[in-house]
Amino acid sequence: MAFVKKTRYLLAPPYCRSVKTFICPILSSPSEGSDGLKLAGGWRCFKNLRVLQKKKII
Amino acid sequence: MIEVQLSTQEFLKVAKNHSNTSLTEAEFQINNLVNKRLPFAKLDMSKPHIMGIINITPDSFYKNSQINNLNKLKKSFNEMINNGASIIDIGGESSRPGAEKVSIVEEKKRVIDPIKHLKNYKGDFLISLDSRNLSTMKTCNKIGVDIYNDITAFKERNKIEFISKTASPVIIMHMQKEPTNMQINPKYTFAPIDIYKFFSKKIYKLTEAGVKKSNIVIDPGIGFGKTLSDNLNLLKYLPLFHGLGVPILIGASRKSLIAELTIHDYKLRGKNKKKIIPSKRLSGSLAFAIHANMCGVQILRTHDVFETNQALICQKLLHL
Repeated sequence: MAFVKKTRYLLAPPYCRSVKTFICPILSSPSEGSDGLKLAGGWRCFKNLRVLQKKKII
Repeated sequence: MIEVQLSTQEFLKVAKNHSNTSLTEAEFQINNLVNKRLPFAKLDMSKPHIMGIINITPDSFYKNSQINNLNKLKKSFNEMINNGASIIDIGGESSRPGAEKVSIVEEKKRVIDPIKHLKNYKGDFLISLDSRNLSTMKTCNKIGVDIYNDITAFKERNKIEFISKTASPVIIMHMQKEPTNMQINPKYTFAPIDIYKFFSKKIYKLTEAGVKKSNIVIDPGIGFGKTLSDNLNLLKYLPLFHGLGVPILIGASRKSLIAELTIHDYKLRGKNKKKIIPSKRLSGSLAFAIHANMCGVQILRTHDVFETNQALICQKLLHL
């Protein structure tokens, strides 16, 4: 199983040729702040993301 | 694999600084998260729904969910509908680990009469058929099933043709191998990403074949060909799946991971607990249902409709 290492810096810019990028929203309640984006038009919001990256095998 | 926390704005800014292509893809992915989901089988996907499980089987892993006569069916159905279920999921074949396949004739014999019976009830509920067999799907289509829930994610071409032709709402589940052997050494690089990629390809394949994206719901398949660690990672990274742009269903109700986690915790405290049977797994099921709801999951599949609904009511009042 792959180990997910939490870091401060991206491997490379998102969606560039050398990496695969996936985003996982960090969810909160709409009552916690109005400046977030609504998730899927539903009942949760997000402002921040967990960005997952791995090197592409070229 | 690395993980970095960024604000949405920072993420878009980094993509923009790299290239226009990068920015376009980043915006596309964010839009997938944000875009309002269209109704699924006429159900409003901007709020959570409960799917109640009815097993017309003699061998499902949770004995209390096994229905073997009409009176028990009526009782379970009424309880589920009166306590907040929008969907009733009926299955005639157990998919617990190690379960043997039943014949299509036997499966039809188990589900057809109960579905016909429930179709006589008036009310705001949908019936979903939990089956992997095209022949059963076709027969049930004639008696008015609303949704097809396939643990094999419509793997065969003729099943895809059927759901495309009938414009049926479908639930596609991820499972590694078959129920008979799925728990024998399941392997993933990182389950959330591997399964995300599986669904991405599957949704593409279905929509290419004419299935409307608004007719698709995905189910990551907790406990289907996954280790405890895979299941936990799936639950931790659940919001990732919103990036697919379709509603999500989660079914963790009374599953063995609840027992595994409890036994592990007892072990850490030096206590000996060898077995936690399905009837002792309600609290864990509710914890996962609340977690899924907080992850924006649109459909919760459960044996315990009243209890799940009660948990959602209490949680909603605290969080929204």
